[in-house]
Amino acid sequence: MKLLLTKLPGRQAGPLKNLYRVMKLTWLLVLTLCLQTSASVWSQTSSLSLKLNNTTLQELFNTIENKTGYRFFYNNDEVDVSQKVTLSINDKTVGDILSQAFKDLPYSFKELENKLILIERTENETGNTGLQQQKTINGKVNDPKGLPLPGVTVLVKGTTNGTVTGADGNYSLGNVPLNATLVFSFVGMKSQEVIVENQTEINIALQEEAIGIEEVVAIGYGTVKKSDLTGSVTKIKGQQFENQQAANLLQYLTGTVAGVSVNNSTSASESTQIEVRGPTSLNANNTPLIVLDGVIFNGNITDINPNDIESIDILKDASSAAVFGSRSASGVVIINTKKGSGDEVTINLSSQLGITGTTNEIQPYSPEGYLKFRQDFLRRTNPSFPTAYYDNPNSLPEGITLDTWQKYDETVNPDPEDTWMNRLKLREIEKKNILEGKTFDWFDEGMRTGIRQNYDVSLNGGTGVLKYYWSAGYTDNENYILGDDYKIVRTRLNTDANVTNYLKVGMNAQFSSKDESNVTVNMGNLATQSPYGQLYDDNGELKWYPHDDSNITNPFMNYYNYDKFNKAQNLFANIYGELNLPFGFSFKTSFINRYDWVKNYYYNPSTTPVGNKTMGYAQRINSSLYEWQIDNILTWKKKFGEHDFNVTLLYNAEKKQTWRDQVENIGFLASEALTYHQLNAGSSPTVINNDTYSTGTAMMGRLNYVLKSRYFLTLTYRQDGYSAFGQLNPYANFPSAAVAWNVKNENFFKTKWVSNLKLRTSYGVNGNRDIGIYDALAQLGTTKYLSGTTVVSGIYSATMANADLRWERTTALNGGIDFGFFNGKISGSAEVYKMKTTDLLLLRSLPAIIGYKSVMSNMGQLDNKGFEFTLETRNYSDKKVSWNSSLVFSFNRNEIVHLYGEMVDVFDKDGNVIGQKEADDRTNGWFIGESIDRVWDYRALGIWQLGEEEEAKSFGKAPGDVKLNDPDGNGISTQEDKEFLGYSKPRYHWGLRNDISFLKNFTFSCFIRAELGYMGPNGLLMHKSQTEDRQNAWDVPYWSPTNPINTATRLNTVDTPVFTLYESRGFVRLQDASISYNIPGSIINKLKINRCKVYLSGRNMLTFSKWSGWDPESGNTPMPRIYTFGIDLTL
Amino acid sequence: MKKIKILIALTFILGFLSCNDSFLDIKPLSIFTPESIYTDETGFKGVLVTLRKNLRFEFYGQVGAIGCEIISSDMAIAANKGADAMHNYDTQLLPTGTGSTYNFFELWDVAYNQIRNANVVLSRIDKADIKNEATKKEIVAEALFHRSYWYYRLVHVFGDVPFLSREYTEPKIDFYTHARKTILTKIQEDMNVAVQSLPMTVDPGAVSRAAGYHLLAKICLANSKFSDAVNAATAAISGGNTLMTARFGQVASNPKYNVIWDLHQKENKSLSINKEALLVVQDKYGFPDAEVSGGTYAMRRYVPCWWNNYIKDPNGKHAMTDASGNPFTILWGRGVAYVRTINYYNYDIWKDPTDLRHDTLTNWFSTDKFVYNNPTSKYYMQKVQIKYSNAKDTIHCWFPFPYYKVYVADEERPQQPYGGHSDWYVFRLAETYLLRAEAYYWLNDLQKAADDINIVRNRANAAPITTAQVDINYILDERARELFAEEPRKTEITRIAFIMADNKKFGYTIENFSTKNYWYDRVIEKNAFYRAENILWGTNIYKLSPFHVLWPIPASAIESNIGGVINQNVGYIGSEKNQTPLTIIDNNQ
Repeated sequence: MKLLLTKLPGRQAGPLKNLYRVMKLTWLLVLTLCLQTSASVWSQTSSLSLKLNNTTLQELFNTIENKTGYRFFYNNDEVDVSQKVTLSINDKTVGDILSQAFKDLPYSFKELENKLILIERTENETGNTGLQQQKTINGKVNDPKGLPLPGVTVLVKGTTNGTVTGADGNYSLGNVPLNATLVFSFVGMKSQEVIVENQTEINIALQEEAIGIEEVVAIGYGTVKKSDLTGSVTKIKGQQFENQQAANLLQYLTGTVAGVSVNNSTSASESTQIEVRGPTSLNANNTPLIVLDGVIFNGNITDINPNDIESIDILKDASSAAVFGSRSASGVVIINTKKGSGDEVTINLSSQLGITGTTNEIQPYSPEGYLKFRQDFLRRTNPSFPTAYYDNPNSLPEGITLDTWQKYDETVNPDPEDTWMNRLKLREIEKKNILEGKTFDWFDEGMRTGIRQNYDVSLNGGTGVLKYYWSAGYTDNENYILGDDYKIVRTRLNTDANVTNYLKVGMNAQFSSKDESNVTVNMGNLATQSPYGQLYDDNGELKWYPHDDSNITNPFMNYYNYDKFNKAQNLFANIYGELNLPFGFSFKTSFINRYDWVKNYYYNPSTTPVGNKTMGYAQRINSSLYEWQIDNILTWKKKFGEHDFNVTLLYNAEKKQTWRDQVENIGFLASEALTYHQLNAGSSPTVINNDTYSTGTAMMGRLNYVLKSRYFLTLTYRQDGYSAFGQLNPYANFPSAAVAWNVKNENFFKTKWVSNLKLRTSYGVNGNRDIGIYDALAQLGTTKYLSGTTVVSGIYSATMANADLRWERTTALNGGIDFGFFNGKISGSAEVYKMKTTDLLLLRSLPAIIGYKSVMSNMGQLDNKGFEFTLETRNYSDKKVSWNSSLVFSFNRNEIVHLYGEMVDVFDKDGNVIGQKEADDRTNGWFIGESIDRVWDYRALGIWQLGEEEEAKSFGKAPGDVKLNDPDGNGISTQEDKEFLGYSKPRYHWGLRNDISFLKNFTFSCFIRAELGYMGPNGLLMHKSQTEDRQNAWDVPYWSPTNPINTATRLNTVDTPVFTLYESRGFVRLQDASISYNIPGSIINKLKINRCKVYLSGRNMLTFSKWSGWDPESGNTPMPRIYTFGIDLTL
Repeated sequence: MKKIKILIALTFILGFLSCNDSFLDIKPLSIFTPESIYTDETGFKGVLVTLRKNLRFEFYGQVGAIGCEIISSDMAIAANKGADAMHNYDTQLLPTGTGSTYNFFELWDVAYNQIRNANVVLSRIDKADIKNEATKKEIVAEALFHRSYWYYRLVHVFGDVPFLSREYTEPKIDFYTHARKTILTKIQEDMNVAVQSLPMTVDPGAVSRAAGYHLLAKICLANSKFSDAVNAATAAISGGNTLMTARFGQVASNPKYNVIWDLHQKENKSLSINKEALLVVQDKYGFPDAEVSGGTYAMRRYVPCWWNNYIKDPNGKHAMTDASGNPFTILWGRGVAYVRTINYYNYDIWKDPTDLRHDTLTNWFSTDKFVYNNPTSKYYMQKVQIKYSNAKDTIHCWFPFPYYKVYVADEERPQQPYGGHSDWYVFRLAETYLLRAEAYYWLNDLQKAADDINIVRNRANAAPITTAQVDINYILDERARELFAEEPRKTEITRIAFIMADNKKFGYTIENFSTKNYWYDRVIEKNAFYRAENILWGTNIYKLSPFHVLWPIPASAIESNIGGVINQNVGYIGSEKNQTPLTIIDNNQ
């Protein structure tokens, strides 16, 4: 055998090669059997010492054969024995020697019986490790008390090869390379790593983490262990969403966090709003403060690439948010991006490709439906004509002859069909196209299946003292309607360097460039187009008015004609230095810069109806922003026995300036060729500009104190200054306090099935400064007028001053409990809170006769209270399947307690004064004792039906109009008839996530979301239009004598007083679902890929609701339904 | 190490020091504030520009306050078919609103805004640095003019309303209503002062002394101070202004036209040689910042909707088109008849065949000028035979119109004109004569009344009238002939109705004003649509009631005034809470 194989000449082939193949197969069979029965037999007695410098493999083999008696088998076609190696070995087994020799070579070896060694080219696992003797490891995992621990993940480090322990704590893991390290991990336990080496059985006992999950949570200007938290903070890891495509990271938070409400976005840019707990303000912004990598980020959240997210921490209660004082009343969202780690570079690539449709579809009338709709509309608006007047002469009702029909009016037209089309007020072009059988589907032309693309690459690693994370991403989203396109390029560089053991410097920088240059086709405009209109005229030019009605412009006019350029760039960079000082002190200075540049240019040429009026219209808006902040943070951490102190002191200053120039011109008589690039070509330029300036300061102190790991105390105090407030109140103070008690850590606590139990409570004051920075001033407006042909400037008082203007103050009380049962199989938390906001920044309504409709004031009181519940369970796990769930539930109730303090009389039924109460603000729809989103309107009892003519007449209505409730029975609908009908925001929020792993490499996740108990106006139920004898409309039901429904009005309904028809908007939807597959290492490793995952995900796949419009969440804006295919690679 | 620590400490301290108190000062970079502007002549003159500009709001756009006035009179109705077009005042003219197309409350909002602007001037000027006393008086005079102008309108449209005599710089929500007579007395006093200082000659758009006297004459009439009215009107007439009796302006040499034509052409209204113009609001194409968006819309408002598939040829085909560039579209204008004049104005008042104001050759567009303009019609270019169309559709599509007044060439939409940019008369000397005629009438000096009326008729080449013909109805007819689309018709008829009620003439009294008044009686007499009470057009019948002589006070004004009481007019819901109106004007309100 030896002769046959090792002594074969290097390049020999032919019949011998075939023989070898047969033998190889045989050997493989033998090999498999051997591995089953015996593991490694490398004899310790055959250890060697070698020193080879640049020697060929052939020589190495010869040496080993000579010294040990081992013999080598290999195929000359596969193994190049002339390759050179350098080795220096001291007393190692042959296995070790070969491992080292093949370290950088694509070969593996296996020891067979009779001291035979088979060398093969690596066909599986990574190419850069040659040591590939694989074996199966068995063992058992126990908890610290020696009890079996089921559900522990056992993983070969750096691969996806793994298993979980069964109910008895036992596991068995095959295909484990000899040089592998096994990682044992379990929630609530410290992860443990074991090097396999010669072992075939590895039994270990996992140790509990000190308290609960040893997770670090960002709390603003610092971090604490999750176990030490006193406030209400929710942490979300970026990993959770890696199968979901999002251009805006807020899309990850729709329904997934208790107490955080984010709406599904309907646009390509995925712009949306976020609200933490309830609305604490009536007028000022309710958007939470964003803190990015430890510093306040005032920019747009879309500038942050979702793929860079390491974790998100949401500070919900007053105490934890209070460190951000006047910015924090709406909660704080702390976003941490990925940081560099390790000494080698890891490359991650991910691509996603998706398609966007809509969750629902409402179409305009078809060509036939259009004619029927036209008939009904004309019958409705011309009741004096015989019903059959508008009937098709080819299908006249019984008893009506063509002659009768023709004589309905005096005209003499020999062609009844033409008469009919005339009576339907069809335009000549429509008549022509009807006769020629030509139709055009405008809706189909304007809607599309949008393609979404997303590509990201990142490098993560370090060299020497320097660690780095760099990423670049490109997103190109097309929405479901033509022109709604969004492109963004984002890049990030996070570096830090430990210059010395006491000085660390670093930078977190991101740059983004957004392109929103496209012009979106207006959906409503698609619906009004006649199906018998034409997109192009006979010359092939885009028709201004597709069916020659000058009220109905071509929906594609701007899409095809506008020349638009709209790009925004943003640079956010934070440079910091951190100094470790003696006695537990450290000092950090951050210098934070933000630049925004926006160029928004467009040209509307004279080839469009609008542009034609002015012979072209050009607009250039250039705006920029520069903002800096300085944070100086001094911290002191010290432990004295059982007393653990952590003190943070902050001084912050900020300045923000914006500049905006808007230039417009019209009358491009000479040439329009240069569009917005040459505004000088126009004849009548306009210039508008606006600059702003604001400054702020802050000082903050915080003490965290922990006693015996059981008792926790946090005290904070912050003072803020802001230039936007009236000069009488430039500063405000925000104190807070929080305590927590870890019951589980008490000696007396013995209940074994409880693995975590902590009680928390906090109280604090937060502020909201988010109003216009010049709202405290009386502002003058300017206007232009003519005197003859001279332009003169006018001035007027536009707003009323309020020098007293100050912060809104929210005081909040929070109580929470964290729990874990059965070794963390069930864990979660529950929170209750009560918030009181006073000094509300209100645009107080004034009697308009004073000359101002409103003035910005501090008044009133708004309360919020609510409950949040999060439950995480590990439902099932065995070797093949594991299933985890998480459930979130929350609700918030708010109440307007006070507004302007004006008292009004309360009358009884007979008009006698029986007391006083504070006046509501009906203009704004705010009522004392009611929620902000309370719907106060006329109650629609249905639709007036045939037979109710007399009763309806009193209200100026007729059958087919809305029957409004008239509680006072006076036969007229007045404001006094309005009632509280419901709420316009969801009353209950539910979210349920399930993650199921199966067949080793598959994961299935789904997220079901429910928003319940609210209502909204549905305009599609009301047919108010007066001009539908000139245009098409949405194909939705309407009342008519032959279709006497009770849910929608007749056409051209009488709409006085102004009323709205509401529908329930509550919904349950399968919002996200994904299935992913980790391609096993055996397949990908030869491609030098460490990890490869492919997945398919969908968003908004199924929705259940009573809403009859487009989508309950977005009302009558279509909701996108997105399917995404993605692939993630780690090199 | 020590050095670094010292450095850090220094940075920390410096950080504090650099941010001293002035760091937080508010800096309005692009915003004017009262403190910086209302300090000198320039600032106050800027406010006057705003006041002048906002005189124009009602003459432009779709319907405008003047459109609402005209359809609430003897002259016209709303021909718009929509459910929110004002047809049935009983069900549609509500305190909660009248819809956006026919917005009866726009006048209220604009008027109080202008009163605020005027009060800014009046309340602040004493503290300002204006050395020249004459200049100061002139500024005050114009501010008083504007305040009086808007109150004159408010009391005749809304009756008793709150009078605000100063600027409010802090919130106030406890206003009370003043009596109409109290307000009229106050603004007559104010205008008596103002006319002393208003300049004799002014730039186009500004307020001259003659305009001041013209307004004063109206106020005096409203106050039943008829001799004062005669004096004021005489002062306006003798202040250097004259009726235009000879050809002038743009097409003066073109014999096809005449002086009435010249008078109403946009190029001529602000000419310095136009001595008839007393107050002209400004709007010209080519000044995007200063012009009214969209222009006068005069054709959309006053021209029939001849093109909208109503008019048929003998074959029953739609024989009319508003196609862009169609020569007739350009010639007639793409009207939609927001304000549709009725037979009273279209036919009844034109008895005199020589009256240039109804000269069908050039000035007047009579319906027999319509031809089938759709080239696809077999009858293209032939005279329209309206009998082939539905008779009822003529409400919207078929009536004559004063071409010389309402046709405004449209620079923005030359191929499909809606009514372009043009100056517009607010006060014109012809009206001053008619005001003086009215004052003489009330003074029972019918000869002088006839003389003044004949001056206006004479210029229009109409036969003079005799004293026997002079009565209030004739004066209103003459005003209709002369001032269509210029005068706020409902305001003027209401003024006369109040004069009759205040003086207990013709059986009218102020006590039962809401149930019996001259305005209602005249409208019902002249306006067949409202008289019939059963003409359904679109979704509503045409109908109004005596109490609509005053429009409702906007409910929003009453409701936002939580601490006080703003009275509602009798007839509308809410008037049961009324209190006796104030009769004293002071700075507390």
